[in-house]
Amino acid sequence: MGLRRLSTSDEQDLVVIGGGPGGYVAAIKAAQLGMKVTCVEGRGALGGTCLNVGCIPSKALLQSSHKFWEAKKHFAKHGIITGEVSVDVEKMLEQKQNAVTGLTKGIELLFKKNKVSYSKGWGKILNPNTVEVALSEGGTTAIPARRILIATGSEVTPIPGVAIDEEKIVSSTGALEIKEVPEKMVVIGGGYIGLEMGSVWGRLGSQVTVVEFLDKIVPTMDSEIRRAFQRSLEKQGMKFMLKTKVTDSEMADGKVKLTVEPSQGGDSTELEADIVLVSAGRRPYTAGLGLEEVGVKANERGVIQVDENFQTNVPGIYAIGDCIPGPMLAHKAEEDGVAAVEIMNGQAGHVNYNTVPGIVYTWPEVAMVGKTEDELKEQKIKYKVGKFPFMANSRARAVEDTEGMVKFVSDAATDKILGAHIMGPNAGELIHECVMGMEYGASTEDIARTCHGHPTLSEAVKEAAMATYSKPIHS
Amino acid sequence: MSSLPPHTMLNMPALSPTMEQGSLATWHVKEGDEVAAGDVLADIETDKAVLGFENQEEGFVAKLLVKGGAKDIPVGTPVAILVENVEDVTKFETYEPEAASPSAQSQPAVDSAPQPPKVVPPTPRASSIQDFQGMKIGPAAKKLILEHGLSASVIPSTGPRGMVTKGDVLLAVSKGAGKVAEPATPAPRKEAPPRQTVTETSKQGKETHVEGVPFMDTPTTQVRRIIASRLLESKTTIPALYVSADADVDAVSLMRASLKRQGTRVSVNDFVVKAVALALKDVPRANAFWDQAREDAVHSSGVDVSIAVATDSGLLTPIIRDADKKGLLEISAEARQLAQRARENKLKPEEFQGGSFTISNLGMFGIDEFSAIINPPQGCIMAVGGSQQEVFLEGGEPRVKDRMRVTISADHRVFDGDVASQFLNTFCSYFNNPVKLIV
Repeated sequence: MGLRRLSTSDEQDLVVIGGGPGGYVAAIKAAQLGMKVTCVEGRGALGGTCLNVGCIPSKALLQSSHKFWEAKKHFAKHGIITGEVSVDVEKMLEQKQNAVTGLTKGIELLFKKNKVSYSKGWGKILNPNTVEVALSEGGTTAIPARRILIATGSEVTPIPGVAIDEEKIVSSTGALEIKEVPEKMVVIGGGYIGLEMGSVWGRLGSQVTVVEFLDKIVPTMDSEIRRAFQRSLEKQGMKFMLKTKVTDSEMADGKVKLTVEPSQGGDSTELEADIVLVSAGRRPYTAGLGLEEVGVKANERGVIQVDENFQTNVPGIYAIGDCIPGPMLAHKAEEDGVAAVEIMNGQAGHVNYNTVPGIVYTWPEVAMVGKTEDELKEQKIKYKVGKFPFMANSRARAVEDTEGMVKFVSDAATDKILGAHIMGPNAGELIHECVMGMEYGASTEDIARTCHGHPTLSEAVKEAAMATYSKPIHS
Repeated sequence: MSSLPPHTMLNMPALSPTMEQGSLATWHVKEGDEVAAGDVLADIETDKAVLGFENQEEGFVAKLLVKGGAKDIPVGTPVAILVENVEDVTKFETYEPEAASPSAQSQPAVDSAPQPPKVVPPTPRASSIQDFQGMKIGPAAKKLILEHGLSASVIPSTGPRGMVTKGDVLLAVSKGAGKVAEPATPAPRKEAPPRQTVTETSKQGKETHVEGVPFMDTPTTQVRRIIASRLLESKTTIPALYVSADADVDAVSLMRASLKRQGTRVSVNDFVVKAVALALKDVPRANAFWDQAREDAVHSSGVDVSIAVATDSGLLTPIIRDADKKGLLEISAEARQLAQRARENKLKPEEFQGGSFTISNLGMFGIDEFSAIINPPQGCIMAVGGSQQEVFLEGGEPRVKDRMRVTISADHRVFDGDVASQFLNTFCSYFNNPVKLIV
């Protein structure tokens, strides 16, 4: 069911607006399925938020700061004697930038290899069959398209009273470019982005305070894991002000003064910081696309509405990723992209949103898939629960990295895994065994009866599974 | 139904010796289609394989009585109706099948001989470790299936991509599918409790093996269960008369050697088959069985000799039909083929259903003599031992000969001493003088 037609050489089978993880993956997949594809991106580099100012640079800095922390706090115990360990922030940022540039260039190569046309500029939908591009080099061009895929992603949600200048008051973008370790940093928003960025600079020496509107950080996390997680971050020096909101900000003597008060209202106090990070959420980015004129429906928060085929209310216009409902995660956007393109080509594309993992790349890492124990309680679903601490895992003990645990929740009658939650070293890798299991409707007993290498951290996953349907051996 | 035109009812066929039920996986015809002999009407799925349901007669498909994909249809259940004339097809539009009756009018595969005895609710063969090869199934489900002696193929799967999950097996167990607790099943173990309390971890109860005695449980197979019940029925309901006779093997040995020199291999048993066949023809009263319904001995219509073949799944008895009319070499070739296919479980129904007389030969295992159990619904079975060297006196002089003892177990309601003796004497007369078998 190919979509090539004997038409003018200009006409594209698909034009993808946005070259982030959702967009570029969709474009490459479409080309692989035989479609004539153009991807429109105005940033000057492919990879979207993720590669340029999100996932990738943050993981680079997290790793660098983690190494520093290890050197400073743990090397001596391992018998490694250093002198005073210090940080060269410029060098750190350079390493990060090299990683980013390498990857974004890599995507350009992938485009060439798969014959995806790359149009450098900002796209706008004139009608369901035409995308107008304001070219970066100047001028405009109109690309005829049989189908259009919106993959423009998301942007930082601003907070009234705290205007972002990316110098002193930064979003995650600016937080990745801070030139020297701030003495005091306030993070507004206790979600995973704020906590990760807070971790980076906290490890490098900042005094970090997290201000969160709700009574909990990372609201989607299992509450038991979350409590342990917060304790861990506090041990690393992070301070938390929960149920607090920021109402105003002003600059004074090169520092930022924030006015904060309880979320429900009350007396206000002042916080001072060298750098303030605004990380209170993200919202779909669809400015300049011309959606209203074309008639594409979005809800009041700007989230584009799509059906199970990723098609908007306008036939021929599709949307994926952060600008449609669902978790705002790069891997979810990639899954969306592949599924949407497969469906366009008559294949059975499908995204299983129940098995999209969520990972927080602090240290210890936290990873989760499926339902939390709280959700099951709320939904009155009968469940079994099993836990296993890394303190009892041989590998973790051998390398002295024992903070955290693995937790499973499974159906009380069938033992089918309903959720898996891991806090600990490499949680972000360990979770995938659980994701795979859930994809196959596995029970915790299945994981328990699968051989796990020794000595690995994965054995904690096995033992937690055993603890769920039966008993663990090692605790 | 007198208002319906003449039609042929097609029933779920028994496509293997042990098949009790099958699934009609896919229909290859639809109502109104013209069909010829040899057309494959549907794919029938058993727990072992998918086989084609071959049409036997020309006609038109008037009605399909079960949907494609219908599972667990007992053998003998009507599944379709054929008519001779295309105009009659529409007359079956509103036809409703009666309650399933196993009587088959048009199954050429089923003889007039009565059906094999009904076994208590049939379950497909319990799965063994080897059966799981290539199946999408996790270790927890496998363990439960083995413990409860279930068959993985009949457990409804609700897992993604068709997987049988632990929950699916637990459900099947709780519905009593695990009640395969006949004497032949593995040593009983305590079932794992299917539910557990919310915060406690569960205890899996499992009986330990008998102290100090290592053993391996091999789940019994469907074939063995059927054989077991038939043997019991035979032994307890048929009054058997046991009569032995010694046959001379020397002449047969000479003839075999001579045939071998010409490049043809014929076994002693092939000679036995032919001798039995001719003896049955000469002594028709021996080619009979007891019909309980009529309370009388009934003659078998042909001389169809069953040969007992030992296979991994049990003893099977393929039939050489009209053995009296076939030559020795023809019988030899057919016996070999049937035995091979019996071992591969590839016998067609007409190849093992029926027969008038069975021969069971343990000679090659070094057995001198034995008495076999009659193979219902037949009237007699001959147990053949191995050849023994014997010294006897002839005219006062010691002579050596090879003798073979055969023992018949005969239904005494059909065979009295007179018939039994006559039959055996005739048999020996043919066997001792094998030239008679060739002419």
